[in-house]
Amino acid sequence: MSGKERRDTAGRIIEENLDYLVRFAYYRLGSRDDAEDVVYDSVLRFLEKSPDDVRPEGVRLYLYRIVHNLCVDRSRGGKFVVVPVDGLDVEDRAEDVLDLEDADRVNACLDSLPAREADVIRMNVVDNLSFVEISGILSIPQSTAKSRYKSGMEKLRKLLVNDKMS
Amino acid sequence: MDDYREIRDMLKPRRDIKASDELRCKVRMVLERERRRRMARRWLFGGVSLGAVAAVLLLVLLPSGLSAKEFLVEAIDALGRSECVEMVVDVRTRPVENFGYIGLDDDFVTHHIYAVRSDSLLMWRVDKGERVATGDGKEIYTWLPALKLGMRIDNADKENVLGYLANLLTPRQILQAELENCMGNDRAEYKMEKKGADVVLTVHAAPQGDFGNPYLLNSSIAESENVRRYVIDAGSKRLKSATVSVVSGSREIVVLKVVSVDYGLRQGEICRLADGIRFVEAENQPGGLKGLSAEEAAGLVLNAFEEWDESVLDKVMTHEMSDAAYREKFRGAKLKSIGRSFMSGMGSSVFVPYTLELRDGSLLRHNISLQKADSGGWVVAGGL
Repeated sequence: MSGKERRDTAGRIIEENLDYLVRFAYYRLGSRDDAEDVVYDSVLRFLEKSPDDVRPEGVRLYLYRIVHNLCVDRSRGGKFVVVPVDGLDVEDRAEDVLDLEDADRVNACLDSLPAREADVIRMNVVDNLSFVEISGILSIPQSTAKSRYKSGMEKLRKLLVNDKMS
Repeated sequence: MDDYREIRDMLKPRRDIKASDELRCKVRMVLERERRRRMARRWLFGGVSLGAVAAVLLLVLLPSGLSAKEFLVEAIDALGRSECVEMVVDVRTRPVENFGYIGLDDDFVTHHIYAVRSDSLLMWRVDKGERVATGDGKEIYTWLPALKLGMRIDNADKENVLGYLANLLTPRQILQAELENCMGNDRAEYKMEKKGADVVLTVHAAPQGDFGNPYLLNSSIAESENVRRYVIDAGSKRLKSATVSVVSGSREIVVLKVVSVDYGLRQGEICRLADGIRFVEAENQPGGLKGLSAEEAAGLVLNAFEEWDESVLDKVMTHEMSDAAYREKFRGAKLKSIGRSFMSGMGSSVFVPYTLELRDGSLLRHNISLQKADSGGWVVAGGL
């Protein structure tokens, strides 16, 4: 495959994965605007920094890694300042509220876990990423990704059992 | 995995999060820009063969056997590195509007274009009376004489300031732009004909951008189905005349015509600035409104007109511009409603429909244009 074909394929893969990348960022940042900003920045970084010979099968992974890193950076930087909006005649944003409630519901379940276990479970269950992909994004061995998944799931199972008994 | 089926079911999202149309459009534009940049670079540096990129172009060989691309390359070479040119160009537009704007129903406004190229440095001036711009290859000054207000801009933004006119500054630039289009635009047809001592290059191009919402269709040359005709002297390779028409329905409407081209004129003081103009730095642009949707930002800005709340307005437009251009018209205006945001065309603007009740009781219905500043906040780009 020529360099041009690789780049064109990369462009197609970027467009095909936009929904998944936005969801990935949304569940980590809790804001649609921030999630879309991060995904857009990630695409720009990908086009600027990725090597010309990146293989099509590596594009998705490369993108997820950038989005993941930018989400981590943003989370460390704290929440953005939100300008208060009073008395606006804005159309109904019920859809956004429902999206946020669902993300909060999932994240609340994972809040009780150590961050690195929650991260692996979130990637696997919410983002449908394989352990091969997760190990690539987090730069950890597959076996580590699987053990974090199992350890976290066991903790959640205990919590679930306790909830049912109480 | 089945061991944890119940937990996995509990954690599965019940809502389908999707990328917005705005993001899709922005990404598509970035990819398209990247693709064109690569194509142009490859061509200019000889990285690919002619045949590799010619499949989508209608290439009519001249009697000499040259293709459109080869002729353009020869013509650019023939113009040499030095140019000195004065052009008079008529454009259907409004005298005070941005240089890139066209209106099919507007009258022609005469533009005087002066350009001097020495080696790689191009000094130029475009003057249409109520709006003037000049650049020296390093920076651009543009101003509105009636408001006595102008802006200093980095040279890299020349296309933003001039639109299609950025291609039209010199015949060399026209040919260079068409060559790059020829390489990167798969939605244009190129046709060359020999007519007596002239070569006529005709480009028929589809509108660029996304017109799911047609608001910006036919508002600029790039955002319209257009036919560009260039008459080039076959011997000297010099441009003799040019027209651009927009195809609207079954009509072809001329929106730009090069009335005259004079070579070799030496214009003094091409980059001279008008006296009494206050220039603001484009780099000192406001930081924008962060953490808001486009509708929320539009609502905040339009609500700020009533009390002329500078704590909001200074975040979205330069203080000098809001004072000189908008304060008198909009102070005391009440926001009646805003609608759902949309995008149109090839720019990165998001438009939000609104209705304002002005001080005199009249209603103004328009679409405010917002763009993301480098800081990530919304700033006002037009539509007032």
